[in-house]
Amino acid sequence: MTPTRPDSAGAFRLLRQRLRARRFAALDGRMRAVLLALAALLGGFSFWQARIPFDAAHHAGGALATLRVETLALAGCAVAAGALAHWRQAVLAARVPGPEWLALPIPPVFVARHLLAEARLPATALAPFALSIWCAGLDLLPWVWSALLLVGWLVAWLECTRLGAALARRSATRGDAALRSLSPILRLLASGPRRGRASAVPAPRWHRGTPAGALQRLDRTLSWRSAGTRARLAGALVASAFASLAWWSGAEPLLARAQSFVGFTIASAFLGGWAVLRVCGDPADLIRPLPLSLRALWRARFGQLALALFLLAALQAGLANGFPLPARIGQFVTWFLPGLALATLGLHYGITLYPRSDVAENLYYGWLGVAVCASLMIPFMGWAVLLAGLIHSSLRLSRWHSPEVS
Amino acid sequence: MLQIDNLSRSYGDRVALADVSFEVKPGEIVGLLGANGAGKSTLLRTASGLQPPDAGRVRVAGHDVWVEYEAARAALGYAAEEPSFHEELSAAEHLAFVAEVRAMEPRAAQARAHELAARLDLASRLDEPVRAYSHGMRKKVSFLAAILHRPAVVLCDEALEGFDAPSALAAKDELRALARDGAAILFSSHVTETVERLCDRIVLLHSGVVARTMTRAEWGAPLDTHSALEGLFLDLARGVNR
Repeated sequence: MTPTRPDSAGAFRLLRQRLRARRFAALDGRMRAVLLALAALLGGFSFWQARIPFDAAHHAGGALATLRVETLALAGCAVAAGALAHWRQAVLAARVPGPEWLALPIPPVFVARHLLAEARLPATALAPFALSIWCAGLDLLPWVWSALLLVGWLVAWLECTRLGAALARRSATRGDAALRSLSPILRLLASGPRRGRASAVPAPRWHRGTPAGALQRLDRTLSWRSAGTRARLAGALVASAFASLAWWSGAEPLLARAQSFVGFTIASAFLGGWAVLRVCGDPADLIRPLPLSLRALWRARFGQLALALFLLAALQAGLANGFPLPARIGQFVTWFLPGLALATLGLHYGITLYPRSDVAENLYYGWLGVAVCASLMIPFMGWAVLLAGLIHSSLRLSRWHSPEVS
Repeated sequence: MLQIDNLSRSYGDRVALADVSFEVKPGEIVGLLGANGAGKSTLLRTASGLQPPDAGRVRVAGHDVWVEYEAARAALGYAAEEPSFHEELSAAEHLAFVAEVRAMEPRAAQARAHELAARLDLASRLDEPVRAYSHGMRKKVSFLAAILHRPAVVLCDEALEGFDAPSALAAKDELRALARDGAAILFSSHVTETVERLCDRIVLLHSGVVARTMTRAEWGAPLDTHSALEGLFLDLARGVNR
């Protein structure tokens, strides 16, 4: 039999086509509509947020000043895209299927291209923002400048994502002497995790408890051992510290309270992110065959969120020395309930989109983004958006009983 | 004890199970045989509550898996083909969690977990994070979690694949002991020899339908013990000089 020449380029093209089709099919029609609506809302918001400074610059310094501001805004988008690609590549590189790729007769350049394409995927989320910013400056600049800006942004996006991904691959590659003679991508593929003896963890205590109690104990153990949940909790702690320090910032009491509320809200959002990861992180074949009801699952996580936010809101009310007691009680209630609603939104998306933590996180942070934009446009509108999200996610809770775990 | 009635399941256009019905009685070990893609794993995943059926129902100890959610699962143990775990937890932590959710008496659960782990040669590494485990060790943890509470119904999906010979023999002994105590066991495998030696009856799946059922008497009733080679391996493992 005559060996045929392998067509790596064609094979990878087909792979990417299939991945695209699979991902598109994984989102049902309603989810696609929600994501499109989110993109449109964020795009519209970005347009108006960009339009105001562009107009101001145009009035002050003409087209050249507008060009300077718009270039800066688009450069920010490109750098953010690079950061996203860096994060995605780091995640992929940590679990790169080294032996599987190494066993195939593929030129390393194709593997590198494939990894880069995968890393660039989340960075495409910056496109609606960049497009809105570009549109906001369209009638303020000569069309040639606008066209050049668009081309320049595309080049910057490509280069920033390439650099971000390359840096992530580099930091994931082991520097063993034995690997030094290999090309960088082969070194990465050979740098996969090595299985061996790991240090023992303390023996567990065996409890007689309830399913919800067992889940809470599991959460407490895993939250600090798993990098994702640890990062969310660390974020919540930093935001809480900011909220507490705001009272000592020397600002006027009303301003200090506003600053503290921002920190409190960010901490609540991080706790919602923690809930998404904890719920979606439970392996299906471990959790599903267990006698765990939706109520136990919900109660276990909601209880922890409620306790954490109760303590945090109470701490902030206690620190609000400049206000009389009734105002502090009012502050506690009006912070605790929205904070809990915000974190519960994350919990609900975690439960209803189980085990797709990536989709649940995208939807959760998407809702938060829309809520922030809405609040900036019309005061308190964001809370209405958040309430709508909470109702939407609550209506989906029964989906837990009909999972589709492939 | 395990009643599967008119179970159907498709993935898009592909029919994985078509109107499958059979029963596993208390004390019976039934082998589920079939080629790759015959529908064995789909059947077990549907019966264990991992994915809902398109039609039909599964009753475990009289409870519908998709209606009486908790009661059915309380009587169920499931050993997955490709088990997944919290990689940061140790096997002991997983087992303690499973025992607590199943409301087992803590001391009895701990004693049983350690006894089973010793029999499967896992005791010395129970406190290591699962991420350091080999494929076979992960399968052992899944098997342990499935039978820890002595369930009324055990579903094993290629459960012994990856086990070393002494551990496989110990696991088979444990399954026989559970069956003697009245458990209904559905054991899926594509290794006919294992099924032949372990099971009382087989259900042969082909393209998602029950092609045939056979009792031990019909296939020639082989010895209900290990083979000569398994015996030799077991003796070597036990350090017996023959």
